[in-house]
Order: sequence, then structure tokens, then C-alpha cells
Amino acid sequence: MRTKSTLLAIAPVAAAVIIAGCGGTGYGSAPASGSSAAPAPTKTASAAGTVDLASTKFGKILVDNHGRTLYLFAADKSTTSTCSGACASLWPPLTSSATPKAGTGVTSSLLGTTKRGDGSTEVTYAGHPLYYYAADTAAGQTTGQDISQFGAKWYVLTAGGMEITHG
Amino acid sequence: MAERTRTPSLTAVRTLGAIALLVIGGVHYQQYQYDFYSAVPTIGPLFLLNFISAAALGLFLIVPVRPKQGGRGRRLDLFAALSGIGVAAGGLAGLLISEQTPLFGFMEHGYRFAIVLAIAADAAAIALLTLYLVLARGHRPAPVEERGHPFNPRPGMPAAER
Repeated sequence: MRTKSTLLAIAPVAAAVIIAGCGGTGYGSAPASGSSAAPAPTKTASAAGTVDLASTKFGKILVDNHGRTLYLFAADKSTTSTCSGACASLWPPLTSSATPKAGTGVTSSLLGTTKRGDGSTEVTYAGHPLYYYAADTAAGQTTGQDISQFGAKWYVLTAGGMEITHG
Repeated sequence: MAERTRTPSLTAVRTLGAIALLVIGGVHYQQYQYDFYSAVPTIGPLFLLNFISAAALGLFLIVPVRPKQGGRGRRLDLFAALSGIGVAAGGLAGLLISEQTPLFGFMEHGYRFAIVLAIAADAAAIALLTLYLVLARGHRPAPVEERGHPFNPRPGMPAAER
């Protein structure tokens, strides 16, 4: 009787862990039709934060080497990032453990880095720290364009490092 | 006498577990509504679901609206406590996984106050509600004959003899 009751108490915990675990492995499954999956940004810095260009409805904008859209945060008035905590969870910084690389059409002299509060190195472009948006789940998505979160607007960037301000 | 000392502790443990569930729901609602998690695919709806289920179970366990006596009320309490453990454990597992690797394409970034609070509340809810289940296991409500029927407060003696 005691064993049965203990099992009853443990069962939901085990089920929840298994469900959560399945969710974790579910990531990276086949993408929805019409879009290509791009790896979610992780805390592990890429060997070299490559910045590329991609054509979107906003014109050619900065993306990473997987085609994920990169944004600037209007609240960043210098190369120092002002996005941390919950902001950094929703807007993960593009980090790099090596000198960032410029893809075709990207000006390498505009690329730089900045130290974040947690010690990681974030890639900058024309002095703007670069971020992903957690709601962009596939390459080519720009769901974060021109939205206001954490006190300021978020914009995609041109090859010249200028923000595109129309939504 | 042992019955009298055990009942308050059972109620206290259940109430504290319910409060932990309400804290879990509150944190998820705050993150969903005010920290823009509503915009994140899958994770946003899961936060809302967590808030609804944790708040409903917490309120159920804390407010004495169900039958006070009898097996049905007790079974509802135990089911709510089990469900509360599931909600807390699911949330905790998801949070810890998303700190290490993307979960539904989303990854947490660091251990800010809301995350520490959620982990503490999840752990407290799991521990308290599990303790409640263990205590409640050995605390069965006395049958009506033993407790004394409202019309026959002295068990064992027919009402007509009093």
C-alpha cells in the first residue's frame, strides 16, 4: 500500500520530466513548409560570429550564417549592450568567441565586439550590439521588426549598419 | 488526540503548498504579460497554461469550498495535490532544460530574480504537496459511525436510549 502511494506521488513528476524532455528533443525537427529551420541561438558562443546579408521584404538586411535575422536595440546608445535578464532571454545576443567574420556584402570594418555583463563577447555592427529575437523560429522571419519591448524599439539593419524603421 | 494534532499540520502543509502554486502562477503571468513572453511561440502559451493551472489548483487547495467531510472531498484534495506536483515539476524541468539547451526553440539567458523565484516556488510546491500526500495517506477521515452522527452524537448508543 505504501509503495503504491509513493508511486502515485512520483508518477506526475516523472511524467512531467519525460514530457519536458521530449519537448527538448523535439526542437530542430522538420521545419514548417515554406520556411527553413534555423538553430536557436544558444549561450555557447559560435566559433566566429558570421554576419551575412539576406533579402527580405525590408530589402537586404543583416542575418547570421544560418539566415536568422539580426536586430539592433534602439536603447543601446553606445557599443555597450543595455539588454540583459529577461530581455536577453527574448533577445539573445549574437556572441562570438573569435573575431567575427563578414559574409558577402557585409563590410568587415563595421564589425566589432563588445563585452557583456556576463563576460561573453557580443558582436557589434557599425557600433550596434546585435541580437536575435526568440519569436523568430526560422530563417527569414522578421517578427521583431519595429516592435517596442523592454523600453525601446528593435530594428533590422542594412548592410551600411543603419536601422530600417518601417514595420 | 493524535487526530487533533495531525489535522492542523495537514491543513498547514496543504495551504503552504497552495501558496507555492500561486507564486508559480504569479511569476508565469508576470513573465507572460509584462516581460513579453506572450510573443514567444509555444513557450508563451505554455506560460499562460502554467499560470491558469497553477492558479486554479492553488485556489482549489487553499479555499475550503469542497466538502469538508467524507471521501469525495479528500480524493479531490489528493488529486489537486498530485496535479499541483505535476505542474510544478513540469515547469521546473522545462526551466532547467531551457537554461542548458533550446526548448521549443527558446533558451533562457541567466538566472534573474524571476527565474530564481520560480525555481524556489517549484521546489517548495513539489516538496510541500508531496509531504501533504504522505501525511494525508495515513489520515483517513473517520467513518460517520465513529465520528458520531449529527442525530446520534454518542456512537454505539441508539438515539432512542439517550
